[in-house]
Amino acid sequence: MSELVIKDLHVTVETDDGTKEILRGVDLTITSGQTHAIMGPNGSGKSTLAYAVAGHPKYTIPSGSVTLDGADVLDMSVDERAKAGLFLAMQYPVEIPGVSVSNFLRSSLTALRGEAPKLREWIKEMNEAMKEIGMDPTFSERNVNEGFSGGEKKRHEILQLELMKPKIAILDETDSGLDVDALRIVSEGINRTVERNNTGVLLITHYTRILRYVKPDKVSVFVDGRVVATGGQELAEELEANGYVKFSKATAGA
Amino acid sequence: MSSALQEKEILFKSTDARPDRIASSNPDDFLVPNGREEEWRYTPLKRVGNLHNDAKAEQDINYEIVAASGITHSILSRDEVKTKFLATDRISSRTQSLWNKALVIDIPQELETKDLTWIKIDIKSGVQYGHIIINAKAHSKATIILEHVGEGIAGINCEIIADVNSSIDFITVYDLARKGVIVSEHQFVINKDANIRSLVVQLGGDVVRYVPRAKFSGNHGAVELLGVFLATNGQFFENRVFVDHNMKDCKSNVLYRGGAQGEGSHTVWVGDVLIRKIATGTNTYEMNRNLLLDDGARADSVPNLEIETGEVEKAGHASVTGRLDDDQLFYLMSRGIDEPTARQLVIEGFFSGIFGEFTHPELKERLNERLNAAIERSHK
Repeated sequence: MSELVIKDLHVTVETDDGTKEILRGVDLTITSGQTHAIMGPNGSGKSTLAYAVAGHPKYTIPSGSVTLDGADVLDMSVDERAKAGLFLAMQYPVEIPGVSVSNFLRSSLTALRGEAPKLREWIKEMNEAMKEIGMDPTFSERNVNEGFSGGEKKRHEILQLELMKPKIAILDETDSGLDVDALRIVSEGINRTVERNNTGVLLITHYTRILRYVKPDKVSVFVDGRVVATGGQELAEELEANGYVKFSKATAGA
Repeated sequence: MSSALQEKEILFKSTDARPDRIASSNPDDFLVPNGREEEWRYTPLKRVGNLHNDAKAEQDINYEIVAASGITHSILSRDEVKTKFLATDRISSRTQSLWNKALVIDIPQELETKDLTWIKIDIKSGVQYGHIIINAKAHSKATIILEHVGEGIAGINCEIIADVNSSIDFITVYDLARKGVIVSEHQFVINKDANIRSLVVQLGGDVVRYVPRAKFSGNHGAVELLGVFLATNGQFFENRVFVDHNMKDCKSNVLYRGGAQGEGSHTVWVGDVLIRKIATGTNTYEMNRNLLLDDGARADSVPNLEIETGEVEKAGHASVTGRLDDDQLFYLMSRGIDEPTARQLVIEGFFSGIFGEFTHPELKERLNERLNAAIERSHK
């Protein structure tokens, strides 16, 4: 049983106009085997939350805490966070020219598991995982994300999620840019991970569409850098019907 | 022999020179550079052991050769060598006038070999000058590797002459010790239907200045000038490429990839392609990509393309200098990979593929070993 606890998290970035506060006191708890959907309008700070927790150097954290099973995540380097059991599926996965998917995945798993996977077992493991997510085995020889379509990039993120078996995964708009078939395949991958590995999932999304395939245990509404409401699946349905207007108004005077 | 004056007049008219430059085998035709000349503006002349001024030879170059079967080689004195080499700057002309022993390699007509021919030059302490001639006769096919190691100071020029329909792979490696200095001008002459693929690899040495110049002696020739360089810990590596499209329907492809890391590390790439009026049907592309690995390093990249005819098939040039991408490092590290390993992956990825066309397993392995060793040195 693992728990990622985010308490009163404030995050700033440096812009041309000076320091800008993007997260203004976020409180969230993600638990093993549970899926927690975070929904919010564009620019509300959802992606900042994901990247700040994963440790992107662009973000500064003036106050607040993030702990994983009591260990201080903010004190860890980016790779240490991954080794501690955190995973971030990125909205815009980065292209790495000249580095093959197979080399990349093997380097990653070697780091996470503390020893290189045995070659024969590794190829079998990778090929099975690729088959499940509907990626052709030839993908392993392509360069990381280079020339991948939007859907292929997202499948590649979920492939990593399934291979790396994190304690807690943050999925940043994994559903955006996917057609309905790809959305279904990616959603099945997320469900498998929760089921098989008891991973706790923070599912960041702009749309309710993915929630037809991935059933959240909790839904939170994120507006203007903080959580403004938390409920069950019914909250997502309400958002689908009425949009974020009600919640945006609620914080307008704050 | 003709008088110096007559010879000079002929040389000035020679097509070896750019319209605005001279080509000569007489060092006195070139002023001692002071570093303000376009040709020398980047080169740290204080670090070239006076090669540009008056450094005398302290010993001869020692050429070690392991030749593929059928390829002949000989070490010849000045009297025994016929050369048309016309140097285009002060150091290469000094080199041309000061070498005592040249290495001449002959690839006989119609000899085709997949076996490698290795030339190894260990540049010993002190100053030395050398000259190499590679004659690929008609319809021949071979791979020659010219490796430079050692800690001394050297000027070494090379002529690579590809006769009709020959096909030559020519790889030059500069992997000198930290204080080694080498300045080289390589002249490629490509005859009708001939094809030279050349690769230069610069990894070790204090100063490496490399001037490859290609021209054609028949139509339908092709030349590739590829390069890989990685300067670390204050090293200076310079490449001044010149491709002279002086014949019809010829093809050239210039592709250099370089990296620089560390305070004072400096790389220079100047790529000049000239398409003369006569050279209709030319197909040329030149590209330099640089990766700066930190704030202390510097890369200069200057592509030039001069076109004197309206009838080219294709002509393009490009230069991109970028920094090691934080987002790439973040992506790799967010998958548990530590920072040094992540940097290594990105750097190896940047350089990957440049050896791709040179498929001989032993060659590929040797090149990768040297490159990986240099990448590893860059972490220290």
